[in-house]
Amino acid sequence: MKRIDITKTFRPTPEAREYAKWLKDKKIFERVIDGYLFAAAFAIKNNLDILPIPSKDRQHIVVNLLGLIDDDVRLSLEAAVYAIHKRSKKPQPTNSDELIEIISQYAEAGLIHLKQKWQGKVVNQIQDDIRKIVN
Amino acid sequence: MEEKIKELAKKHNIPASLLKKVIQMEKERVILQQRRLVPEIRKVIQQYAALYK
Amino acid sequence: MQIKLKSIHFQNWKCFQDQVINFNLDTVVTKNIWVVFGDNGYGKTSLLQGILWCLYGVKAIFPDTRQQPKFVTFFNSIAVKENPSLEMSVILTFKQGEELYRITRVVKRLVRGNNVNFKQTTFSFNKSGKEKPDTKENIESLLPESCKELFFFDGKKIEEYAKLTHSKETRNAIEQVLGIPEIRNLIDDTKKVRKEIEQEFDNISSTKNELKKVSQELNEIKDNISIKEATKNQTLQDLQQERIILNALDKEARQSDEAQSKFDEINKLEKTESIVIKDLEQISEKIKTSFRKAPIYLLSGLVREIADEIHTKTLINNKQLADTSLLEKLIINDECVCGRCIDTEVRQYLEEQLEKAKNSRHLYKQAVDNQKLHTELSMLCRTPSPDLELLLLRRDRLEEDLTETEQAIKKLKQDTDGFDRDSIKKIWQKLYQQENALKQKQDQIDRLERDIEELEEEQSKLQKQRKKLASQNKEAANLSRQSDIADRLYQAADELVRWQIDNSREIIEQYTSEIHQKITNKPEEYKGVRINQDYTLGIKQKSGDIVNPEEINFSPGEKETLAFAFIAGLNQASGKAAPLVMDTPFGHLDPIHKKNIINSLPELPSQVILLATGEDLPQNILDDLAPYIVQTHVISRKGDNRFSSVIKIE
Repeated sequence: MKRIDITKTFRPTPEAREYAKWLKDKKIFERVIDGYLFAAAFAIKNNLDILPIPSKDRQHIVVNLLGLIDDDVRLSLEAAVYAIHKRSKKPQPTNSDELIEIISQYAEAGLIHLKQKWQGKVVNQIQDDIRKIVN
Repeated sequence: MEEKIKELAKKHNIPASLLKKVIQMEKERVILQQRRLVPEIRKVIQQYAALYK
Repeated sequence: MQIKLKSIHFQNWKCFQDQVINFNLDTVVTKNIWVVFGDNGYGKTSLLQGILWCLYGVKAIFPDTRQQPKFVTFFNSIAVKENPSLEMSVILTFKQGEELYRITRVVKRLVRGNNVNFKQTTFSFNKSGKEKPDTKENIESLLPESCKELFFFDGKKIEEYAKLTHSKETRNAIEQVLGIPEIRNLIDDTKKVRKEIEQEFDNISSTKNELKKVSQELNEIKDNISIKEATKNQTLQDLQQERIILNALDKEARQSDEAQSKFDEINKLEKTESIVIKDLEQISEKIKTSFRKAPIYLLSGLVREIADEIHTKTLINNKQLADTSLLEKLIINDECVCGRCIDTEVRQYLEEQLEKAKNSRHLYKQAVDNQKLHTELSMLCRTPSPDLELLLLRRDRLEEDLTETEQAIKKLKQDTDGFDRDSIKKIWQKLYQQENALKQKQDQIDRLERDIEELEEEQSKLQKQRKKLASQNKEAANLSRQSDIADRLYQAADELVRWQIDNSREIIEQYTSEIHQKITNKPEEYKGVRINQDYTLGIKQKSGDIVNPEEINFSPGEKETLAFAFIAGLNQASGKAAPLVMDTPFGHLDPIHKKNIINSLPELPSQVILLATGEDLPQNILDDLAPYIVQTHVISRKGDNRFSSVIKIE
C-alpha cells in the first residue's frame, strides 16, 4: 500500500476548486481541502468512474498543503485507493505522485456528482445529505 | 345651571332671583371692555337689602 | 338657541361684484345642511373671508399684520376699472329665534389725483330693524371673535384643537363659549361692591368709636381673607401645574421602571445568548470536525478490508520471524526437534538459512511496518461515526434559540430606547423632588385654609357685633345688610364658577365622546374622549387607559376627527349652536373618516354650510346627505374672468 508524501500538493481543475470553495464559503466545510477530500471519499466509496485530468486545465493554485490533512483521513484514503484497486484488479500506484493523482481524479469525479446532486439545495439540506451519506 | 343657581342661593341664604339677575347683567356686558357694573350690582343689592330687612 | 346665517350680500368683494346669497331657513327641522359648490379658485374661500371680514375685520383673515395684503386686493378689479371711487361692502344677516341681526361693513375707495385711500364708512349692527350702538360688542355677544375658529373653519386648521396644550387665547375662547367669563366678572364686581360698602361703613362710623373700631377690624380681616384666598387660589393653580408635572414624571418613572425591568431582562437574555453562542460554537466545531473526518467513516468498509489483509501479512511475517528464532535455537542446542543430534550437513544448511534470514533486514522492517499499519487501520475502523443527525438537530435548535434571543433583545432595546441607567436614576430623583414640592404646596394650602377658616370665624363674630352696633343707626343697619348680601353673593358666585367649569367640562366630554365614537375609525378601541382641566384632549381606551393623541401616534385623520368631535361637542354644550361654515371640508381626509364625519353632520344641532368642490363631496356622499340638504348653491364664472363669480341656487 502506497503512502502519500505530505510535502506534495493537490492541483484541482478550476471547476472543482470553485465548487470546493463554494462549499467552504457556504460554511458546509471548514476548508476547501475538506470538501475536496470528502468528494474523493464519496467517489471511491461509490466507485465512480474516473478520468485522467488534462494537465492544461490544472490549477496552479494548490488546494492545500497535504501536511494540513489529518493523518487518519489521509490513511483512510490511502487504504481505500489500495482496496479499490485491488478489488478491480488495477495496478497499484507505484509512488506518492500517482496516488495523489488517483485521489485527485476521484475528487474531481465526486465534486461533479455532488454539484449535480446538490443543485438548488440550501446549506442545511446539503449538510443533512452529507449526514445521510456518512451514516 | 338654573338648578345650581337655586341650590347655591339656598346654601348661601340669598334670593335666587338676585343671583340670576346679576348673572344676567354680567352676561349682557361680558363683551364690553368697560362693564361699569359695580354701581348697578350695588343698586340691586341695595334693593334686596331694603326688601329683606 | 340656534344662530343661523340667513343671507350674505357682497358688493365688489373680491370676485363677487353684486352677489346676494340667501339661505332658505323656512325648512323642516331635520334639514340642517347647505352646500355651496365651487371649483378651486372660483370664490369659496373669498366667501368665507367675506364673512370673517364683515364680522371681525382684516385681522381675522390675516392675523399676522406683516402678511396682510394691501386693502386694494379686496376690491373687485373689474368694478374698480369701471368706477375707481367705489364702495365695497359685505352685509350678513343672522337669525336667532325671532330676532334678525344685520351686520354691515362698508369701505370706500377714495381717489385723489394719483393717491388712493380707503375709508371705512359703515360698520353697523342692526337688531330686528333697530340700529344698535357698540357694533363690535354686539357682534362679540353674538359670535365672539376669539371663537371664530369654532364656527368658521377649514380642514387644514382644525387639527390645532387636538394639540397637547392650548394657547391662552384658545382656552379663553372655549371658556367664552361655555359662559364662564361672565361669572368670573361677577366675582370681581361683587368684590368691588363689598369694598365700596366697607368704605361707606368707614365714613358713617367715624363718629361712633366702637362701630368704627369693629368696622376697621372687620375690614382688616376681610382684606386678610382676600389676600389669603388669592394666595390660596394661586397656590392651587401652582399645585395644579405641579400635579401635571408630577403626573408626567410619574408616567416617565413608570416607563423608566418598565425600562429598568427591561434592562434586567436584557441582561438575563444576554447571558442566555452568550451561553447559546458558546454551545453553538462547540456544536459547530463538532460538526466541522465530523465533516472533516467524513472520509474516514465513508471509507471504513474498504479500510477494514485492507486492515484484515495487513493482518494476514503480519501473521506470515511473524511466522517467518518465528522460524528464524527456531533455527537459532536448534543450532545453539545442537539438537533436532526430534531429539537427535544435528549432523554437519544439516548444521551447515541451517546456518546458511539462518544467515540468510538474519541478513534480511527487510523481514524485520516489514514485520514492524505491517504491525504498525495494522494497528493504525484497526484503530481507524474502530473510530465510531458521530451521531450527525443529533448534532445537526441540536445546532438547528441552538440557532433558533439564538435568533429568538437576539430578536427579544433587539425588541427590548428598542423599547428602552432613550433610557439609560443614569437617566432612570435622574427621573426617580426628579419624581421624589416633585412629590416633595407638591406636598409643600399642599401643606401651604392646608395652612391657608385653616387661616381662612379662623379668619372667617372671627369675621362672622365681628359681623354680628357690627350688626348689633349698626342696628342703633338706620343707615349703618342698611349698610350692614348690604355687606351681608354682598358677602354671600360673592361666595355663591365663587362656588358657581368652579361648578360651572367642572360641569361644562363633563358636558363637553359627554357630547364630544358621543360624536367621536360615531366618527372614529376605531370605535372598538376607544371608549370616549377625556377633556382635561386645561381643555386639552385625551382618548379613553377600552382598557381604561387615558392617552394623549400625541403619544399614541394618531394619524392626521384621527387628530382631525378628534378635533372635529371636540368642536362639535363644544358647540352643542354651549347651547348657542352657532353656524358651522366649513371651507373645503376634510378634503385631505382618508375615505373612512371623511364618510364618518360627513355622515355625522345631520346630527349636529347647528346650521352647517359646506363650501366644497365636487371632489370634497362625491356623488355617493351627496346621496347619503341628500335628505338633510336644504339648498345647493353653485359658484360659476361669467366668461373666463376670475373676478366675475356668480352664485346661483341649483
